[in-house]
Amino acid sequence: MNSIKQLLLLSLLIIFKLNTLAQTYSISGKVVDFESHEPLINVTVHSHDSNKGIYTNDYGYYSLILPKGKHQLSYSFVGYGEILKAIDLQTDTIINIALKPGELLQTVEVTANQNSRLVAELGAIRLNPQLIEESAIIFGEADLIKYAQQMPGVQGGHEGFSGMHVRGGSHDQNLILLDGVPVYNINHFFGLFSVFHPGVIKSATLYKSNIPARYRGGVSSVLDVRLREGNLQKYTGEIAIGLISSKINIEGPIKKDTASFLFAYRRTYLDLFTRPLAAATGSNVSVGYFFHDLNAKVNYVFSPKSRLYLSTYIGKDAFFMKNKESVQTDDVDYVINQKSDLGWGNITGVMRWNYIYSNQLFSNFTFSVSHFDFDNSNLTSENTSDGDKKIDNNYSSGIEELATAIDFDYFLAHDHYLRFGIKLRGRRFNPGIESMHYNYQNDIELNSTVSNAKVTALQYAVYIEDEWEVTGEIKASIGLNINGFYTDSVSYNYLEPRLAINWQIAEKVALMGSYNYLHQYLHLVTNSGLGMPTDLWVPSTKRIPPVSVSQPSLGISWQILPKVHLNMDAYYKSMHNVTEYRMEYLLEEDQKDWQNKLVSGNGKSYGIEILLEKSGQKTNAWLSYTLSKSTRTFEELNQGKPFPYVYDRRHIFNVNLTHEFNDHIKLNAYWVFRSGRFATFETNSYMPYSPFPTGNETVDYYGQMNNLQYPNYHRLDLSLMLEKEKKRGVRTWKIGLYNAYSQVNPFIVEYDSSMNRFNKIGIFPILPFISYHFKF
Amino acid sequence: MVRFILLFTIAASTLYSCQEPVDLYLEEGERKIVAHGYLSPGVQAEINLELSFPYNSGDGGDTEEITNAVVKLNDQYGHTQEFSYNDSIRSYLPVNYMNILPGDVYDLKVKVPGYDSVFARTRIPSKIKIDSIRHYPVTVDYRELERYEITFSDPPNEENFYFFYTIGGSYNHFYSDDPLLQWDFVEKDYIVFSDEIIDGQKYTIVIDYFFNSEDSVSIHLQSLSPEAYFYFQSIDAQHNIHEFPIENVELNIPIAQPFQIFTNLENAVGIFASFNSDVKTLPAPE
Repeated sequence: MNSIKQLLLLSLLIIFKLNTLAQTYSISGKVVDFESHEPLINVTVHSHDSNKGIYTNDYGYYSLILPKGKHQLSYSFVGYGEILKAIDLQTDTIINIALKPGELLQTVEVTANQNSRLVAELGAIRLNPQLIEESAIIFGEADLIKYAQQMPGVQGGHEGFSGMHVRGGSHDQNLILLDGVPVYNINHFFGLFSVFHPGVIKSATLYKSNIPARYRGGVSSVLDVRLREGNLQKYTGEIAIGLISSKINIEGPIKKDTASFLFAYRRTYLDLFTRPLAAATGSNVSVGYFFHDLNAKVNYVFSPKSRLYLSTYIGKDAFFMKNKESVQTDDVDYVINQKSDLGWGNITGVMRWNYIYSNQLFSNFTFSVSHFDFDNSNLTSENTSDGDKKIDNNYSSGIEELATAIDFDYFLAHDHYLRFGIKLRGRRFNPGIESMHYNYQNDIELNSTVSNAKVTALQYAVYIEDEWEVTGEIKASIGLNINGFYTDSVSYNYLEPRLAINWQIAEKVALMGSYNYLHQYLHLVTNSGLGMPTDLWVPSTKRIPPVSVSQPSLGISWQILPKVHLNMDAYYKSMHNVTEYRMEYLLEEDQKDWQNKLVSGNGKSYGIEILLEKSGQKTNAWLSYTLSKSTRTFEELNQGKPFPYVYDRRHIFNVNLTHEFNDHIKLNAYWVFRSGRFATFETNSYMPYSPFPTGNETVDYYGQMNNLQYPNYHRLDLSLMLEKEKKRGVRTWKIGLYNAYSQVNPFIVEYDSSMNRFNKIGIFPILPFISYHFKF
Repeated sequence: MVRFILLFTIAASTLYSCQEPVDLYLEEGERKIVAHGYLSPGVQAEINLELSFPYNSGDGGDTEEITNAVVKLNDQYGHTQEFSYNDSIRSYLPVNYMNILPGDVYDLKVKVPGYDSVFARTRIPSKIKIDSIRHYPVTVDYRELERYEITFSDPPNEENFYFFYTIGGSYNHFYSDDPLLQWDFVEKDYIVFSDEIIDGQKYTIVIDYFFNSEDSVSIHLQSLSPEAYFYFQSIDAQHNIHEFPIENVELNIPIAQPFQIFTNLENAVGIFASFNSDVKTLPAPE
């Protein structure tokens, strides 16, 4: 009898639960910019009554599961006015929202507050596109990567260059995505500029604590950059003229609210001066350098449920030198032609198709190609009355990628937001081919090709992540990424768990914890760390296994005052199979295989990061501080003893202050302090004797790795923006100083043996800049 | 606005500075035994031993010779040649005779009190003869030069390494864009090259020579043991790594990670190597 009662009770409970479930409905839709109808990413949609929330995905879509009845919804986003909406939810409902741009609320947004963010985004830093554009780093050129370098836990490599080192990781440990496609070389001009056109960035999110399961490839960080899709309402654009480069971007509707385009182009013009200068001075030599970027996008809305996006990026850097010399003398006539070209660049192409199967299921299909290549060619021909001579030398390297993915967002219930998908990636690595042809008077002829074998690699990843509201105070993101990597000679398969927990311990205080275990199958062969085009992406092999990183993090987020926010993170990162350049000179045979140039070892890094922000109507400021230590241990380096990582900087401070004097004048000041980096310096020297006339220059012996710490680095940048409303748009002059007090920050340190002292040599003293912008 | 920009630029430029002395601490590091020995048929062996000098020992360093070492050379037949320190040439010279033959293997053993024993091995390379030399005057860049075409035959199916240099002419320099120079178009004192791209071929090195007061030129083609080749190559590479900015494909930049000079010595730096030379001397052109 008792058992029958229990069964009845259980059945009633199940029916009650099902009834409860049956009484929930979805509110879904898209959130767009009021003026351009551009989808907005990461807009918070929050129900005040039920204290449930969600945010829009990468395509501005959201779906919130709520109980039947009346609700007060809010839609809020950084830089936009909040919209409140009262609804009586009686069935599944679609609400599309257009947010109006408003006051700039926050400078840097670190996701932690449980009321506004879900847990999967824990530790993510959203870089404000407007502030990226307003920042002017070197030569007045706004730059996303240099802006990211100001964030806690992130640092640049050498001064002025675009390297990014996150929590003690090397700069190849970052996955940098442009509209979801990896960009293999993010540098222009040897890293002085990055490839991202600042005027068209819609969002940029940096993950360094918890890297959600949908991402894989960067064991230290993921920087997900999305460009605007194109204004669906009206034509807008911007022209900018700077000291180094000029830019134009234009966007607008092809068919209002149905199709739009975006076009952005940037080019430097150093070569436009050097070519006529050479001609004017009568020189036969023409030398120059330029880089350019082109972003082009179109999208088409087939229906409220279906939208197609096509986009491409083409970027190129080129150095060139041409020389033609003709000489006639009594004895001999000759013509010399010399031509050298050094070029590198990325090309990406992406097709994305969004389809909404139901209010709760959103999908995105992606097909992409990405290509990076580096070419160097030198041709010399000499035609003389004594005979002809021709030398032709070429080198090329690169990587090609073909990828496809399908990603789903499933808004299962108010407490479960699932994302799952599958990604397939095929890559072809060209680790370097050098060819040479030499002909002398048709008597001597040499032809030679030296190449590393091209490697084809296939990679898959299947992932699932659930953002789970465990209780009203505790939220968790649980994810799993199953992935594999295959080449002719080796295969690797891994399970990568991702876990993040957010506990709202008080109204304004949240604790966060996360754990990630990640692998990376790509390595960068580089001996400079600058981001040179000769840096070579290579796959994992038997000898060079994938890098693996295990990283637990703990953090606290505290809204101290309504406009003052504090965020603290602590982390411990252990790295295995990280690579360094071998320190010995390689024998000729060994130099031909790139694997011989690298050694694998381990590293560890730990630290505390603090970010304090203050936002206001007129003044916005933030301060970041990082206390960290990062070491490496390699069996084959430094006698197996641990040594500091080259960018093991103990203290890093960044202070950024923006003040708006009135509607026309805005001042930005940025100050940075970093402990000095490390370098390997010779401890001994000796004279290399020989019985031949080899000269008498000493050579160096290196006793220990990274044994010299450079002096501390600090500098102040100032910029002033002068805005004026004109008849056809807004004109802005940007004037500023890079390194305002002309601190000599060491690019290198040299020992002056005649004076018996070290000298620090800087390459960027005070640099004034000015640029003109016109937005229409 | 224009006046503002001008004033701004001038004021900013006056603050320009880019190099400053700085106080930094760096440990000197342990002094290493530096050994150099080159064997060649028909040439008396000489072993040079000294200690490396710390980075901060000022101009020219502070070389300290090792005078109390026990130095021995063994051949593959069990013969031993002993060496003693010679004050006048500040090197170790043999005290007994030993024949140095092409193709044979020789071991160097050095014991310096307070240091681990030093050991190295080399095999004497075969001589590779200069087949012919042709020369004639040319005019390059408005200069009257003498062009030399030096032909030799590289033995097939074996690795060979060469050191080519001249004595005479203008300060021993010559000009060449021969591909064996690895596309280095500057004037040179010598070329170190391997037979990688000329294996088994009859090859002609082309050099241009400027004569002034010298009355003859001697042309040296040395066949090197592999370790000598790697030693000279690594020295060249270490010196070039600080050059800016681009030499062919490799970007030699001052911040590049440095590397150690090649050595085949255990417990020491330097080299123990061998060579076999062919020399032709020609009178200066009229």
